[in-house]
Parts: sequence; C-alpha cells; structure tokens
Amino acid sequence: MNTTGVRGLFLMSLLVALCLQFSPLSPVLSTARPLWLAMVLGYWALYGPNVAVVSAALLLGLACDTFYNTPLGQHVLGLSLLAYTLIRLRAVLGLYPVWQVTLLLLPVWLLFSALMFVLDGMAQHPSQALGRFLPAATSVLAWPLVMTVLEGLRGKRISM
Amino acid sequence: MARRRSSPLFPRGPGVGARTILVMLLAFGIWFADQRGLPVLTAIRGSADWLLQPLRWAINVPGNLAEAGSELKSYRVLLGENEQLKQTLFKAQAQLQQLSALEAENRRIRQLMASASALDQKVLIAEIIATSQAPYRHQITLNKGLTDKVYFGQAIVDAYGVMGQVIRVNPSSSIALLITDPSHGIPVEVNRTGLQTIARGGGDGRVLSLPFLPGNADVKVGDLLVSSGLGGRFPAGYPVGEIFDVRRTTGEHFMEASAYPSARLNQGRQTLLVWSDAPIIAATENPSEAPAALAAAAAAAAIQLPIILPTATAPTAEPVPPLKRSTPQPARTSSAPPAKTKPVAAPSPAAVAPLSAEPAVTTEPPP
Repeated sequence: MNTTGVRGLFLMSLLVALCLQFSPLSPVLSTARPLWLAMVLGYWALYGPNVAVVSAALLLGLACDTFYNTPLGQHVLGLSLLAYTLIRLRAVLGLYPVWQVTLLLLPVWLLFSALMFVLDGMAQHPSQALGRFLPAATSVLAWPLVMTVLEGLRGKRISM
Repeated sequence: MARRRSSPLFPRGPGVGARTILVMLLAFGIWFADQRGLPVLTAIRGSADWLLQPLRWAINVPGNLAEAGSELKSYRVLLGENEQLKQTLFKAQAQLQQLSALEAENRRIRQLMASASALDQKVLIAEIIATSQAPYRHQITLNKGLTDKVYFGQAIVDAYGVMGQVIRVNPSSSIALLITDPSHGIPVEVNRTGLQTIARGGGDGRVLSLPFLPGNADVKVGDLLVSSGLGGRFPAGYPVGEIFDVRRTTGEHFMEASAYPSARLNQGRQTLLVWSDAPIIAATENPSEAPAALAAAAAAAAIQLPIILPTATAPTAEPVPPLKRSTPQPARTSSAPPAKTKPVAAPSPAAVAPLSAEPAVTTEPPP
C-alpha cells in the first residue's frame, strides 16, 4: 500500500474508532466497552509507518474530553502517553507473534485506565473502579480483531 | 514529508519524545486550567462540540433506524392506539379542568400567605442525543444549548419526575448531571409528612440515598419524595423518588433511607427543560451568557420579591430552623418538631449544587 493509502486508512480507522467509542450502548455493555480509540491509536503507534500519532492523540483526546465532559486535557494526557509508550515499545513488541503481543499489551491498557482513574480522582470526581478497569480487560480480547482487520486492510499477512 | 520518507530506517526520529512531552505539558496545563473554568477553554469546548455534531448524528443513525423500523405499525394497531390515546386525553382533560380550578385556588391561598410561587412554568422539550456513555459519570447530553437559552443549573424533568440539572452549556447542546450521580444532591421533602432532607445519588445509577435523616424521622417504605424547591434550583413539587428501604443503625444519630428515582432515567429520548422561578444567578457561569436566567429573574423580581430574598440569603444563614424562616410554609413547619429540624435545615449551597466540589459543576468565577 502506498503512503497516501496508508494515511487515508489511518484517518478512516481513527474515525471508525471514534464512532465505536462514542456509539450508544446499554449501561452494562457500555461498562465493558473496549478502549477502541486507544487500541486503534496504539496499533498505528506499534505497527504504523510514519504517521502523526502524537498529534492525533491530541485531537482525539480533545474530542473525548468534550464528549465525556471530563476536564479538557485528561484524555489528551492519557492518549499521548499511550502513543509514546507504544512507539518506544515497537522495537520490542515487533518480535513477538500476535497472541503474545495481545497479552503483553494488558499493562499498557491498565496504565491508561489507571491514569484516567487517578485524574478522575484529582478532578474531585471519583469514578467507579469497574467502569475504568473493565475496558482494559475487554481491550485484550478485542486486540486481535483490531490488529487483524487493520493488517488485512493494509494487505499484510500476519503470523499468529 | 519527503524528509521523513527518505529515512525509513528511523521512522520516529528523536522528535517524538520532545513532541510527546510538549503535548503532555500542554494537556496538563489545560487540564489544570479547565478546573478553574478558564473562559477560553469553554470556548474551545464549545467549538469542539460543534465539530462533533456530525459524529453525534452518525453514531445515532443505527439507533434511529431501529426506532423507525419499530414505528412501522399496522393500520389496526394504529387505530387501537389512537382510540386508547383519545380516552387517555379525555381523562387527562377532565383532570386538568379540576386542576386549573385547584391551581387558581392554590394561587389565591399562596397570595394570602405572601409566598408567591408560580405553578405553571416555562418548559422546553429537549432530545437526549447521548446518554451516560461513561458508566462512571451519570450524565446525558441534550440537543438544546445556549441558542435555546438553556442556563447553568437548569432543572430537567421527564413525565415521571425530576431527572437532573444542566452542568455544562455548549452553543447547541448541553450536558446534564442525573440525580443518581454520586456527586449530585437534591433538596427533597417527604410528601406524606413534609419532612425535608437531601437526596444524594447512590452511585450505582439506580438508586438515591437519603443519608441525613434524623433517627426518629417518620419515614416509611413507599413514601413519595418530591422536590422541595429550597435553594431555588429545582422547581418545587415534582416527584423525585419512592423510598424502598429504611435502615436504622444502632448507636448512629442518623438513619438512612434509599429510594428509586421516579424519573425513567435510562429510558426514553425526550426530556423537559424547566425554567425555574428564581434561577440562581450567582451560579451561572457568566451572567451575560445566560440571558434567560437574567430575564426570568427580572420578571420574577417584580412579583416574587419575598421568595427571591430568602433563596438568596439561604446559603449564609445555613441552619435556620424552619420555624424562623421568613417565608411561611405551614405544611413543613408544623409537621417537624424542633428536635428534628437541625439536620433537616435549609440546604447549604453544597446541597443545592452537586455535593462534591466538582469543578465541572461549580463553575462560579473565582473571587
């Protein structure tokens, strides 16, 4: 896939992730909603070519903060930290097959959730721990799906 | 772009770390400033919200389609429904005739008692465009905003009871905190006895908790809670919840009760924005941004001076026993013996505003 195509896919995938992240669900399902946005952004940080992941984290974080009515900057902090961590980890994680990467990414999702949880508390709005940490677990389950779909769209073969 | 493509071996160059630190510093700065309600950030949030409108529309398409599909009904079903609606309307109109007479009578009696309180309020139907997406915060997004003169702290109700209050006003949408949110408190009175207390959100999204009941309070399972209107934020007389559990702990001064909210918080797509008689002007983010509040207050000031004054002074004179209150409210005062009055006192500002000092809610300009 050429550079323009990849950039188009980058933008489209983030738009789809935003829709999945914000789409209305019943309260129970919503608690278990995977961190779609963090996962898609994380995919591009890990496996992407040279795309502006950190700048995307800034814009998407602002969108999240507006939508969730959290203090502006909370999701920006989380997403940019996540993007940076995964960019640093790409040399290491690139060596492992998908299922191992899936498990190895759990601490990253937990880090993101924990940061959100702490920032919630600091903003005097303590949140339910389940609502913050369950998405980290479901993200592990959803990661192979995200990865397969995006690699498939880029025309890559992946080794499980 | 060409420079980057020419060095594919090191696609992330040394700039990433610096860029991330810059973004994170910026994020932390605006996060910090947003807690103090910087006007620029409100504007940024407003424009971001405006930019998100197409997305909001797009994510609601599946739900709307499903709804449209379920609304396709057969002629026979429609006829039956029409008949039923006519009957309901007929009954409702009959009751309404009685109600208007009662309302007139009530108004006359209230005038006699010098406590004017308008019974018919201005309302506006708003559509819920997003429910509490994040389970850790019980809030809904409405499709009415500053352009419809929605103001900060405005009460929202549905057909069954009070739902919550507006905590953020964007140009074309607004966000409301539901009464079940743990940081929300609403002054209520028990309809049967007139006992006044405060109902807080239970936190799990389904119940209200009444933590400040005196140990000897007359509260029973099945009691209806209605909004008391103290503090001026919520209109008085709307159902808030129904008590389903009363717990007395030995050795504790207070007993605790739990109630199910009357409003159907997780169902339906419409809600009513209510213009209160005496909106709290001090709590609006910026008086110039809330012309409705000012206009309503100005209109109210002409006829409702007696009720505005106690509301405005309520926060300073906190534990005023109801017997000394300047506005006569016999239903409340007579039923509560003086021993009960202390915990049941007029709500402090914290009770009227959501209980914790949450910056998104209490956006009074810093002194």
